Amino acid sequence: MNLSVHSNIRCLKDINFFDLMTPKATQDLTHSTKEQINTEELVKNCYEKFKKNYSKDSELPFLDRNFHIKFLQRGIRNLPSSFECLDASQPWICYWILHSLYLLDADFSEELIDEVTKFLDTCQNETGGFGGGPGQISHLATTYAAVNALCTLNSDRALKIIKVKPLLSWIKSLIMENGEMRMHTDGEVDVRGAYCAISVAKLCNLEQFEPKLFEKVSDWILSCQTYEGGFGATPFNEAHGGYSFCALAALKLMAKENLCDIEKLTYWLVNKQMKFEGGFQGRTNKLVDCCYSFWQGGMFPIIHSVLMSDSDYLQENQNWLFDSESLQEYILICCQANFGGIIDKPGKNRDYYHTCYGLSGLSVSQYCMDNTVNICENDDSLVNRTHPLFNIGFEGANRAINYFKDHLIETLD
Amino acid sequence: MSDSESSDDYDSIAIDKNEWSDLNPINQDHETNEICRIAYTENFNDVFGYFRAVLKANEISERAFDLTYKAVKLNPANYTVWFYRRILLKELGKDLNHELKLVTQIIDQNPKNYQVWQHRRNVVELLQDPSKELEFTEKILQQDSKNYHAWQYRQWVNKNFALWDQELDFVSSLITVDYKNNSAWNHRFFCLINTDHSESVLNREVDYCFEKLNLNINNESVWNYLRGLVDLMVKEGWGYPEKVCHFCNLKLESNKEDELSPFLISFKIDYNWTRAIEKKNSDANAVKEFVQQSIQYLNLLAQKYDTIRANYWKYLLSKWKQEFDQYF
Repeated sequence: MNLSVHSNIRCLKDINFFDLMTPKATQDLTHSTKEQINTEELVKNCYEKFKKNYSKDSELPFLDRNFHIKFLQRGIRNLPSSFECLDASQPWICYWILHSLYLLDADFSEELIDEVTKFLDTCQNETGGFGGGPGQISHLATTYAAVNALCTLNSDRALKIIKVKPLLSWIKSLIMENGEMRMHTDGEVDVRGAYCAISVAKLCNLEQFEPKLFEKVSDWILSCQTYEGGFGATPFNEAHGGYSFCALAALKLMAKENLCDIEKLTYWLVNKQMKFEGGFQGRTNKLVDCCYSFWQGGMFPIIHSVLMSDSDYLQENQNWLFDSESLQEYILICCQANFGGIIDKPGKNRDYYHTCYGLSGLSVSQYCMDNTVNICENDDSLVNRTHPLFNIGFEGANRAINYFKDHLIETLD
Repeated sequence: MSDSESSDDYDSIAIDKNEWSDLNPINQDHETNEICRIAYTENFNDVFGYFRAVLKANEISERAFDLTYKAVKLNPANYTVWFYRRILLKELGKDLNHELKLVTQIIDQNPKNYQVWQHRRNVVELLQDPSKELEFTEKILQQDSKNYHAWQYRQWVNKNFALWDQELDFVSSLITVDYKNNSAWNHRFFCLINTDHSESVLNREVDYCFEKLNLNINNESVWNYLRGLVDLMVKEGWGYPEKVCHFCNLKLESNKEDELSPFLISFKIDYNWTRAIEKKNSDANAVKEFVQQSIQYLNLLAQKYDTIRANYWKYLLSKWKQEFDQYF
């Protein structure tokens, strides 16, 4: 067998790899354990299949770019009726697809840029913000998605359509007395709202008009950190990867990330990587899911930036504090669907959401500071780099930030 | 209210266009728009076409109210429809108890949907009647004991209506069924903080942890909860509970391979760190012991017991070296 550089892959090099699985001969037959064991079986099948295939083709694993791109390009224009359940999330569909295409280095034609811009403008409301589709009231999540999608187009004519002053006043109306934020008028409160609002505010330079806009929000976010170290949706809710990412990224955007208990967060977070599967779970004692590759994995660059100020070791060390290679193994070996798209876990169907966040997590794991980590033989499997706070390309983010700084005067009514 | 509202058949969600002949539907523009074109089924298209028109015209009427029902059945995630339905509920003076029955059904069919839980919260807030809420969330948790929305909603009910009496028993029964149900452990901590967390109660909780750890030493939920308890006890000024330290040492010294849970080991390392910092300038021998044991354990974790977290264990090693470098 040809032991080339990249066969550091655990199922190839480690004869005891499958010993990492949860022991089955156990008195513990709780539901949680049964679910975990079943999932590990499905994942094991993937790794074993991979071993067989590798013996015939040492080019494996690789990122199946072409199939993923085809899957994505189909979805940006026409979607089957099964997407009726996402009728109130149309900007999300745009963002998931466009960001994935960006990561895969696919080009956007001038026509596509104009068409997406025009479409998202129909989702925008005169009173500020974007809804889930034309004629829908504005929602923080769809606003976040729309702004991210527009930034991903990397074009001034896309950014131009954002109505900044109404956006600001609408966001303000969603900030409550105690710093919590509603997702829409009369809508639910949780930490996603804070992240969506702050992310959009940074990209569109809303604080030029109101520097203390989110003053009370940071304290509320801090109160969402639980005894486990992660953050929940609202104070005292269970620590959860999605909400934790929102909390930490929002705090970082406000330069208040060091106000939370970073050590406790880090301890909780590192324990969310599954020792056999390689991917991340969202909560303690739950199952691996590829989307957490980003929600959980994406917190490490932020944590690194905090901890390294006090640590020579981290300044010199060119690795995030998790096992990047094992995460890549899970994504590339277990989660690529046969004809394009990325899945939650073996046995599940592909969708644009998991494709976006699987690829985003892959990006985080491939780029650490100045270092590249790639379990694949070929650089062709490297995706583009994602901004760990906004989760869009750096070019798109920087263009937006500069555009809205430069266009101060024009946007004032 | 018609019977058809409680059945799931097609008639209850189909629109009768004759009823709407006075209004022009506002359709999605699939002619000039080329992005995100969902192939809506005919009824879906009609219902939402008329809904958009109703919303724009600000129509307050029974037919608008019935239309919102059809719309949320077709897409319960359409938050605009729920938003408008709440306006209609108020303006038309609708029966909120009936609405509660309705949202009960819809949550049952869509338990992971944000909008339906928020709607229930809005209705219950208006009714100021929590009498069905604990039973309802319990039912949902029977289907999925970790449903995040259900737990979040239950916490709101507990806090908002000060309903705490059943909680400890409820959470204990769930933990008995599945001691890895982290949502239940989290809820337990929430209850503790909001009710009695005196020293004797926390001591009892520590014993509860030991009981569960004796069933399975490698249960992260319990270790995290135990850390929470210990932090609380220290914060309240009762000092680090010695029996916790004793329990850990006992398990560590038993030397059985399957007893050496990485959570146990890292718990001890964390304890050692706190103690070592405390005694840094007063008891060099004690500090030396803490340092040596911690280094040994961190190396074991990185190389043998928890290799996927090797980067993290090595980082902790560097922290020990940085802080206590005179002991190396």
